[in-house]
Amino acid sequence: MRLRLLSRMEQAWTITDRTYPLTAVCILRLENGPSPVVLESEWQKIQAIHPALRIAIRQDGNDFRFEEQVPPPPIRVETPGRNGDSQWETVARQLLNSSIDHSRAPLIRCVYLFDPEVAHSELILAAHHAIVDAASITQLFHQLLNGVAGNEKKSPRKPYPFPPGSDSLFPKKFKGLSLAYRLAGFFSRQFKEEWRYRKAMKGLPPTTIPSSSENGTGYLTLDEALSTALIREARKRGVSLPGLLSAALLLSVWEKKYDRIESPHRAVIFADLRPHLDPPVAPEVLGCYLSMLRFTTQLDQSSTLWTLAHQLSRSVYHAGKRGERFLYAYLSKALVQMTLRLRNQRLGTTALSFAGPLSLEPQYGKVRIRDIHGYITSNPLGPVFSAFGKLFNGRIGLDIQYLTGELSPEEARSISGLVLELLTQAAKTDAV
Amino acid sequence: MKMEELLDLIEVQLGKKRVRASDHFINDLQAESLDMVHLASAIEDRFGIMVPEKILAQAKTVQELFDFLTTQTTA
Repeated sequence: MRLRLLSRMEQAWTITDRTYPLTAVCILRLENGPSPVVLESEWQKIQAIHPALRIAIRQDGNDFRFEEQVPPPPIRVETPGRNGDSQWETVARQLLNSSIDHSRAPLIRCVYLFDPEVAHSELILAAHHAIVDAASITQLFHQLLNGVAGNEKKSPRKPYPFPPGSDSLFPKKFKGLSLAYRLAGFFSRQFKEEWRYRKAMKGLPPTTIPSSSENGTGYLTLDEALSTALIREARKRGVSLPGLLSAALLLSVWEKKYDRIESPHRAVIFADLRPHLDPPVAPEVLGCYLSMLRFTTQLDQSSTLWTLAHQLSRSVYHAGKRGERFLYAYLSKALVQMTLRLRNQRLGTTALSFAGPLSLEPQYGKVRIRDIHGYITSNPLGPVFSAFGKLFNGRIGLDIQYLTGELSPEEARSISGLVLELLTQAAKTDAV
Repeated sequence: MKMEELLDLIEVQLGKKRVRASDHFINDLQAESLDMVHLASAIEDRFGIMVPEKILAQAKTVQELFDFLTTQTTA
């Protein structure tokens, strides 16, 4: 059954995976997890209420269209067995490095690492990024675990309608002629910025792009005391948490990979469109409502974590006030197309997707969530070092991706180590 | 803490006039995340109440934020 055309952001994700997989992988680490039989039963109920779990993507001229498969293809819970506490990392990497063929439904896989003899287990969802974002994949887990725990009142059983595309929900002043007017101004600013960037990059070594590479992963979890201190300090200094975390990533990569050579660098920050759409889209609606914002900043010897965090926070703030999240979302397909065609430029040095506080309970019946991790495939044309950030159980977590073709695990660990060091230092009130 | 005090604080912090309890932070007051950071910081300074990130993200309207703050002052 033919459904709507993909939004421009969804199309951007779809054309990207012509050259590389674009998979979102989310891992729930559980204690007293359900048996595979119980999980399978609840998973089938979830599949029945979310049309996005039954779709494929078909090319339609120059565009793409969602199509629902009738009868729906079953999404089985895959249970390969559990082999130790760190097996999930290997499985997550395998999933990150595997393409999900978008022309065949379903565009999601469910893997459960379970051993009846062990209290710990891991539930993994891997989906094509065009059908989920962090908010909706978190909601899938929430609904699934509510079902497992028998919280019938909290478990939706009425099917959701097929979610609308973000482009059709832009506020009125970002549609039609008004959008065209704003795009003209935006293009002018972007052109000037690109010209300045290219001029500043003249004479500097070109950014090498590995011809082939897989994704490497890692993670950092800040303890509760450090997370609280960092949030408090950021607020005191009028800096947003995504601005601060993004600055820590950028400064660390600059020091460890670029030897602090003075040059402009680009930070990509993903923004959640859901609350800004008209009408706003609830997190329970499965879909991808993101925008990819990009900021250029000059790094030099005077750059410190707080100066950079201020700069990025203000850039995100002003972009937000100008509604650039809509303009970037509108232009995302063209930007990705251009990057794929030219193949001479990275989208950025770092990328941060910050989900904020996750709407998950720490416990569902007897099932306790130990931790949660999220990874999105890094593309060779994308950032050198990227992270999915979140707040869960009072702790800030950063799940890190890099390309093994340009960073060794030791180098990636060294960058992560510096991120942690910078954030620990920043939590102290007298830090510069 | 009274609702009027919170409304005054929000008007100053967000540079808006005639803020109402029913106002939605994003749709009506066009508050960005950095606006919310400044607001949370101002609430802490003025009322001595730390607003957790989860509440900051969940409070969609002024009334919802006020409801949280009053639970903290009466706890």
